[in-house]
This record gives sequence, C-alpha cells and structure tokens, in this order.
Amino acid sequence: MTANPASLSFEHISFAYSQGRPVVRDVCLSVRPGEIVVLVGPSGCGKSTLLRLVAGLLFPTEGRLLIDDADTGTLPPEKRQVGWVPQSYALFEHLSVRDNIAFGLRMRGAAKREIAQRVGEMLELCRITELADRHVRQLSGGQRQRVAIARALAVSPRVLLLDEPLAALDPQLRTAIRADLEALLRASGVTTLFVTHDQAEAMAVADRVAVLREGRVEQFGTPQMLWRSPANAFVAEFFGGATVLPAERISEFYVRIAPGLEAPTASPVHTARCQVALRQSDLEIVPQNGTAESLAQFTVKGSEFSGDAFKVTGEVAGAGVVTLLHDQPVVTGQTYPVRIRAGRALSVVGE
Amino acid sequence: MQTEPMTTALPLARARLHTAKAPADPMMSIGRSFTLFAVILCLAPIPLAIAVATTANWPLGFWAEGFTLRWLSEGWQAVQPYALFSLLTALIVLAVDLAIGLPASWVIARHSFPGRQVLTALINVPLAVPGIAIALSLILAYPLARPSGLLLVVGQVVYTLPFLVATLAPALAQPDLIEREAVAQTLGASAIQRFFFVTLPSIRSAMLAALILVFTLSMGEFNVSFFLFTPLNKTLPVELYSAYITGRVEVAAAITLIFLAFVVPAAIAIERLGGSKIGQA
Repeated sequence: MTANPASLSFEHISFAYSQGRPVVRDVCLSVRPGEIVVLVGPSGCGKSTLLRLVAGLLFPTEGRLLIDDADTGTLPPEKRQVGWVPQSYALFEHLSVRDNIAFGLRMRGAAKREIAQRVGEMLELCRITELADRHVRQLSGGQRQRVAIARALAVSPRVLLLDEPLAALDPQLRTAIRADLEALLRASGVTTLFVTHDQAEAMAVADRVAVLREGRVEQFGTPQMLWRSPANAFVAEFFGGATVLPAERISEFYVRIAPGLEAPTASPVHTARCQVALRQSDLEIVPQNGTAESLAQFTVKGSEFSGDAFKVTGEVAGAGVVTLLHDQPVVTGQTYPVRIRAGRALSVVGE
Repeated sequence: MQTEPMTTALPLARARLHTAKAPADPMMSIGRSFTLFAVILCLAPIPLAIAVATTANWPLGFWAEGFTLRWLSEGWQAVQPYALFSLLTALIVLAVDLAIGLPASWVIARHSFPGRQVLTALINVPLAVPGIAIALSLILAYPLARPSGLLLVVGQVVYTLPFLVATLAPALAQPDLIEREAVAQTLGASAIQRFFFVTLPSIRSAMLAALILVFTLSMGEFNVSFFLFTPLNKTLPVELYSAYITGRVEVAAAITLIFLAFVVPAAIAIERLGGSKIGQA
C-alpha cells in the first residue's frame, strides 16, 4: 500500500573501522520482500552497525549488499531509498509534525499536491492526524516514534530500518506500543530490519530473528525455531532465556542431566553426550511425601517473588545452577527434590 | 471559644517569624552585600558619563551652568565618520570571519585527523597573545598593506576568529545534530540541502550569538586597531581615545555614550540568545 517492499541480502558482509577489530564479521542474511526481520543481541554485537551499513551511513569493508538483487553497497544514503529511524528518532526539532513528514518529499522536489496527499496518508497510517500541526517538541515518546516512522515511510522506502524503536519509551507503555508498531509495519507492508536487545520484543514482532554476537550471526530463523532448536548455548541462553546444561544420552529421546534428573528431549540425540536447554518452567519441586529419595536434590540459594510464582535459584547436585518457578515460599539453604514437569521435552542445543 | 483562635494563631505567627529568620546565613549576607557593591562599582561610571556629557561645564561640578545636549551633538559630529567606518569594518570582519570560521569549525567538529589539536590550538593562540603583539607583528610582516586598511581588518579577524570558532564548533559537534543530518541524508537530502534545511536551523542561536559577539568585539577593539589605524582608517574606539586625550572631558563622555549605544544592544542580544553557550569548547 504505502511501500515498495524490496528483498535485501547481506553476502559475506564484514565491517571494521579504519583501525580496530571488525565490528561485523562475515554476515550472510537474506530478507524477503515485506518481511520483518529482527536483529537481536547484546550491546556491542554489531546490530546497529548492520543498520548503518544498509542505510549507507557506513560502507562494508568486505562483501556485497543487495537490495532487490542490485549491488547497493557503494551507493550513498541519499540514493538508496532506505528509511532509517535511529534510537533517538532524530526528529527535526525546528519543524512541525507535518513538515517533518514532508521533509523527504520536499528534498526530492515532489509537487506540492503530491506532498500534501502523501503526508495525509502517512498521518492517517500512523494515526497522528490530530498532531499534524504540533511542534515536535510538544510530543510524547510514543508520538515521536510515530512521527519518525511516518517521516521514513513517506518517501516509500524499499527497506525500513528501526534501531531500538521502543527503547526510549516508558516500560509500562512499551508492550502496547509494540503491538501498535507491529500492526503499523504490517499495514505498510514494508521490508523491515528491526534492532533490539530484548528477546521478548524480538519474538513478538519478528517473522524471522537473527541472533548476533560479536558481529556474527549465531542463528537465523523463525522465533519458534530459535526457541525449539537453538543452534548453540549462546542462542539458548540469550534468546531462549534458558540454562544450558550438559546431559548424557539414555535413548534417542531421553537424557540424564544429573543423577535422578532425567528428561525427554524435543529432538533426537545421536551422541553419547549433548547439551540441553533447561527453562524456568521445565523444573518443579516435588511435594515431599517420602518417595523422593531417588530424585535429584536442589539446594536453594535465593528466591524472589514475581507475582504469579516465586523465582527460585539454586543448585542441582551434579548439574549446576538453575532457576525454577514455585508457587510456595522456600527456605534458603534447604534442599528439595526436583524433577522435570510432566509433558515437558527439553530443547537439544547444537554444538 | 473566642480566645481559641488567638492562642493558635500566636504560636503560628511566632513559628513563621522563626523560620523566616533561620536561613539568615552570615556568609550569605556578606556575599550579597559584596555582590551589590561590585555591581555598583562596575555600573557607576555609566550614570556618571551621562551626567558629564550633559553638564555645560563639568569642571565646576554636576550640571554646573546647566543641562545641555551640546556635547552629545558635538561628539556625534566628531565621531560620525569614524562610527560609520567602525561599522563597515565590523561588517567586513564579520564576513571574513564567517568565511574562514564556519568551514574551520566544521572541520574541527566533524573530522578527526592528525593535527586537529594543533589546528584548534593555532586558532586559539591569538586569545593568549596581546593585541599589541598581534598588531606589531602584522605591521612588521606586511607594511605595504597598512595604508589600505587591510591590516586593520586582518588584525581584527585574527583577534575575533577564536571566539567565532569556540562558539560554532561545539554546536556543530552535537551528536543529535549529526544524527539528524544522517536521517536527512537517508531521506534524500543532498549535502547543500542538509546544510541549509537541517544544520543551519539547528545551530541558529549559536550562529547568531557568534555573529553578534564578533560584531561587538570588532566595534570595541582597541589594542590592535590603535597600532594599525591610519588617518583615513580610524575606528570609533581609537577616536574616542584621541578625544579624551586632546579634547574636553564632556565630549569624551558624550562619545562614550554614543559608543555604548552601538555595543550595548548587541550585548543584550547575546545574553538573550544564551550567552552561556559562548566559548564552550
């Protein structure tokens, strides 16, 4: 409707500042037209740099960047038709909302009528029509975000780049604004690269997620795929919020984590030893009624109340430190028998 | 029933009196009186100059032989050509400063290159060098340029340029501004469009402050100008000096007032534009 979505691919893209370590290393990704791809990773993983490379604010030291199969890696930003929304939104503070949105079209010398019509469409799409004549200094964080996105979409970008679009907002508002933002991106149909350090945000918004660490793509796939079969311990821990523990194969779909702690797996295990991802909700404390001697022992190190349950951290003898959810208060220092909740199958983590 | 409000009101009033007295810090009141004294000391010459300039015969005292506007009118007639010359000089200095200082500020703010520190230091050197030294070295280096008044302009440019750069460079180095320019670029704005539609509006107040600062500095500059002027190229402060040395004190006071009329409005404008921004390097 409002965009001309393009495909985007990174072919062995690397980037380093003139002197120093590479910030982006051998990144290969391909994004389909209209797809929302989230780049997620801890700070310093190179995700914002990737956006700047696509915007043309930086140029790759190696590799090719293709937009709609055309090599774009050497074009200057003003020739790329790529929308970039930095974390600060970088609104033009001296202009009104309307003039901010019209900026790109004016710079391209569009006709007045065309500008007015396009700005009207953008105001409507982003549901900020009533703010059109406000000064941008008078807007709230969420409103500023919408103006920044409207301004980027007004020039019909082939790709939209969002750098932590929710980070500047109040935590209480973030979830609601996130849903609005996703609806807006879907409605515009634009190919989007979305950067965040928050895996919950990534899961909620993405068609596909690329998990980055130290400039490399650790895994690229749908959120479900990353959750169910993490490629390595980093993905399982960072994206899946799991604790990765070594395990011993018992049968194709059954492993032992520690003496007395055995679990089914979600995918087949082929090697004698493997790693599994243990999530907070996978483990439970067994009510003590005498039958628990053969079960693994969990020594409580601390717990915090999180509303629905207590988040209990402790050590499973022979396995390591894990966190579980329990509906009763527990005593720090005391030992409880634990087991895998019925019906749970653990993700096997790739090497 | 009747006495009750009295009894509650009284301690309350006493308490209020007490709290009002409490913050009377002796250091505070000493500081306050000292500041007041300093302000009076600094500003007293202005009403005095007004009194002198409007007294018919000052050596005999305040408004001796009556109030007159004669000295102001004589003073204006004496300095008028020099005032206009000063104005013209200031405008030329302004243009030259901008032509050199804006690109220089840009380079200092936006590029890191070997020797950037040296360039910044070099631009700031004249701040530490007395005006007399600047003027004498210019006379020694370019004696032929002096009669045309060119040296006067050069001297004032050397003297005022550090102030312009020190005001503009920090404004141009703002990370927010750089990011806004980058967004404008992704929206299709060319380098010239970015400069005029994003950069310039964003640094508007710093730019105005810098220009007014250079203008006032140039109008009031004496050290350099005193050594570089020629009978044909004489600025207002230099003429003010000769009026004081050679003429009646009343005329000198009148010229002082005329001079202030040129400079004070500009100084007020700088203050309004956020004078605190100036010189944050």
